[in-house]
Amino acid sequence: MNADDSLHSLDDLAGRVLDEQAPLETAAMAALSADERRRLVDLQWIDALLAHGSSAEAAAVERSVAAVLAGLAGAAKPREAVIRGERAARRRWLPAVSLSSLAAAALVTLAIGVWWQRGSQQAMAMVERSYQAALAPLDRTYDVTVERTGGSMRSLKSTLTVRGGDKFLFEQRGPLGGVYRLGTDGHGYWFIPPTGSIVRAETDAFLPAWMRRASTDLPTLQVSTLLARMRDYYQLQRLPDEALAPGSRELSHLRANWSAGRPLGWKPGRLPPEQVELWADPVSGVVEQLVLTLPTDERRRARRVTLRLAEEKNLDESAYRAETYAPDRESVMAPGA
Amino acid sequence: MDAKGVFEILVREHAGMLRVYLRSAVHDAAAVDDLFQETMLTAWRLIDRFDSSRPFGPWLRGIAGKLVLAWRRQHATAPRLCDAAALEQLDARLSDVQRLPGDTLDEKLDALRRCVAALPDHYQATLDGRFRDQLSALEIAARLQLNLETVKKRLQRARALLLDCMLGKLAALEGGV
Repeated sequence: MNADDSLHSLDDLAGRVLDEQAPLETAAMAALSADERRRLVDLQWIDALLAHGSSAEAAAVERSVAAVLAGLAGAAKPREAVIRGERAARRRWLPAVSLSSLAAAALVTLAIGVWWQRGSQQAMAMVERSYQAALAPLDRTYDVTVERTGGSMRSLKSTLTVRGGDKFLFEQRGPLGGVYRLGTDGHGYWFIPPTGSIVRAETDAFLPAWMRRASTDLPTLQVSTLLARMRDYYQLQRLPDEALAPGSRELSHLRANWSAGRPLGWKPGRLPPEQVELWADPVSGVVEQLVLTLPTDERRRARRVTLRLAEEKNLDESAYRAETYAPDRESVMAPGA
Repeated sequence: MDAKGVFEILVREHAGMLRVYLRSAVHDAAAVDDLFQETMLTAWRLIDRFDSSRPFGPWLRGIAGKLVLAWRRQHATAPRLCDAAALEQLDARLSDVQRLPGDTLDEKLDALRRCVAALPDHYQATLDGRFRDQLSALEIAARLQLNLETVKKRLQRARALLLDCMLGKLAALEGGV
């Protein structure tokens, strides 16, 4: 192969990697010469520079900056902890946290508090705070109501329990009393129909099919995922604080509308909610209620989904394992999994 | 101005460059967002260790590079070359970009815009579809009424031409031209 052939072959590989997101296989990488590796990295660099010029990336930069500024409030505590740990180890006779560190942390907290109340970025900060709250390792159970269209006005009720961003348990009672359960312990996914074997899979690719078997259709089974999507792909509008019931405390409230653009990373064929309304605790950011309005889709009969916080508790890890609910049933891998 | 205020300015000033660095090494948009935030918050925690006589960008990329390598260990087949040598090369390229004329990254990227403007129209139309409108190769093919392979080749060729053009501009800068 001459130098030109090698160049074209490398550019072809770069095209597959950059335009088709083809994974770089270890063998293919090992076969590259040092010059070819450098050229591939340079082409990745050019691709990123080109992407930087897009309006979508400009918006992403703004969102990233807003997320960091919101996150600084949460970072103040680890900062104190790090300082405390390091200095205690090195100079145990000195106070663990310097006054300047405390003052800086207080200023940051105050600044974030003031900023939180301020105009245009309030909604983004609210979503970011809710997202961080959703990542906390606490078990929160939401009552889920799915209002359907297409001839059936009967609402479906179910519960969704989530912990952080990696565990969930969805439970729905079928019309004949049988219970459908879907879940993940953060390592594998599983589905328990009212009768029959536990079905398992290593990825979330089977969740849509399993949800259809349970006659439900949620765009996501992770509150944290939904919040991340809102942050990244929705236009956010802060609304006046609102109580969910007469006499109850007021909650932060916002509306998110799907913004133009491609839903990157969203599963093909599963359109995202066109609107999401969020009510969250104004201090902790914990999501109290979400109302999702789904786009009209002939394959999907759900139109509106409401998740309302029912309780917050500490569950055992076993709550996210299939064998807890069907200890006597055998397990099978999903076909093709 | 307090420490947070100064850091906020640094975050805004270096956000674009850091995202370009991360996007060069990591294709997944959500991972780029996460790595960006983690880099900035780590930088804030370690800000006492930053030598203010040195430029902030390379220090930030040093933090980001470690996080990318950790991410990479969990995503061994991700579609980007991002080992330590690749990250070092990307850091050098972005340091080169930093030396281009202009106060902001957008101004510095005038060089790239001039390179794009020098491409034949059909390459520009393909790049517009891919980067401005975020279309897939298949969607660009449908829009431009081309076959898929032609679109892929145009994207490859355009990128290669832009690389040559940018390296030429950076070399000229190096030579004081």
